[in-house]
Amino acid sequence: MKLPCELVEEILYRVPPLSLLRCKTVCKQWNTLLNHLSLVRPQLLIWTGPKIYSVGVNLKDDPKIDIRELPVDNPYLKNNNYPIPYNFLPCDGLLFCVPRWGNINRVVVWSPWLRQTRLIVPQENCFTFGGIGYDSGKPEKGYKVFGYRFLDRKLNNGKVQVYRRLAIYKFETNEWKYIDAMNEDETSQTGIGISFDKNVSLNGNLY
Amino acid sequence: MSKKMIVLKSSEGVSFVVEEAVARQSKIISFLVEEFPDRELPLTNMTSEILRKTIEYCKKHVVEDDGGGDSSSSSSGDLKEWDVKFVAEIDQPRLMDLLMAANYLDIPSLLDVTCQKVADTIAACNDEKEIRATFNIENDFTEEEVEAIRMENQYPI
Repeated sequence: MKLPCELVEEILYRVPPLSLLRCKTVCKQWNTLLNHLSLVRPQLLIWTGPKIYSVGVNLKDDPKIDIRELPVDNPYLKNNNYPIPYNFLPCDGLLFCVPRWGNINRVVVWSPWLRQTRLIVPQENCFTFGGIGYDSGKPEKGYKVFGYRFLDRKLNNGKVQVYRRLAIYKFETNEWKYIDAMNEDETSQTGIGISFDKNVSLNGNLY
Repeated sequence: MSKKMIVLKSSEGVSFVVEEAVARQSKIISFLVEEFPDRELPLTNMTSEILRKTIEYCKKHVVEDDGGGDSSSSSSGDLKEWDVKFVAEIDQPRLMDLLMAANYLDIPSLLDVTCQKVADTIAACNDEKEIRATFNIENDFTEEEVEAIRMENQYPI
């Protein structure tokens, strides 16, 4: 097939996102076009009510914004077919979904674009999930989920101290790592104010 | 007015007499008949087979377009169905020729259905090897380059 670039572009534009990844490795022309179209990875995800859209911004010679509606049929976000209210935090084309109801002890990391989902169930209850981040220095990313909970412990002098336990979940190993903060008084004064609505994940760093 | 005919000539020199309204779905032909009335148009890069197919598509669409406004919604649904059947009956190499013809003659709706059909075929392929085989595309990547692209685009979730 020897098609001019603009026709290959017309065709690739109509290929569903899931199949686009394997189109990149077909030949150099396709790979270049797909990088140019930035179709393989959405740059932004936005959601209004029940709908989710990907937004691709192309600032090269012919600037355009490409908005596509994405399927929202994710069984993990439902309970017996009844949708559970979730908060979404976008990161790198993924949505980090935390249930708004505290009694549901799980988080979902979801790529609406590629229709992939990972359900993460913490080993301990009562964790508050802060968000998701990754190592932008590595090509394989290595996503991590971060959460915390409060615990108390008895000190030698008989006082009870409240401290914070941080939990980090690694995607690669599917394991949780826990770090207990030494002195909660200090951290609470310096105030790692973790409120989900204010968190932003940018280039892998969680702020 | 609508019965005015024009002649389209394929690369083999075969003449097709077509109603002007049918042919005018091509923006190029529409432009040409205005500039050069009463002339036959030689389409030297289109075979008779592809030209016949293109005309068949245009005929179907022109009939539906001015066929009374009252049943338009059902007829547009039927038209879609017809389009799907139309491209499904064409084999891969001819589909590409038809796509090129739609592009050359500037018939946006035909370009859309042919591109969509090719995109669906790509989506139905299991891997890049099958895509290359189906569309006769040469692999100009090394193994390492393919691996690098895969790594770059991995979604580890």
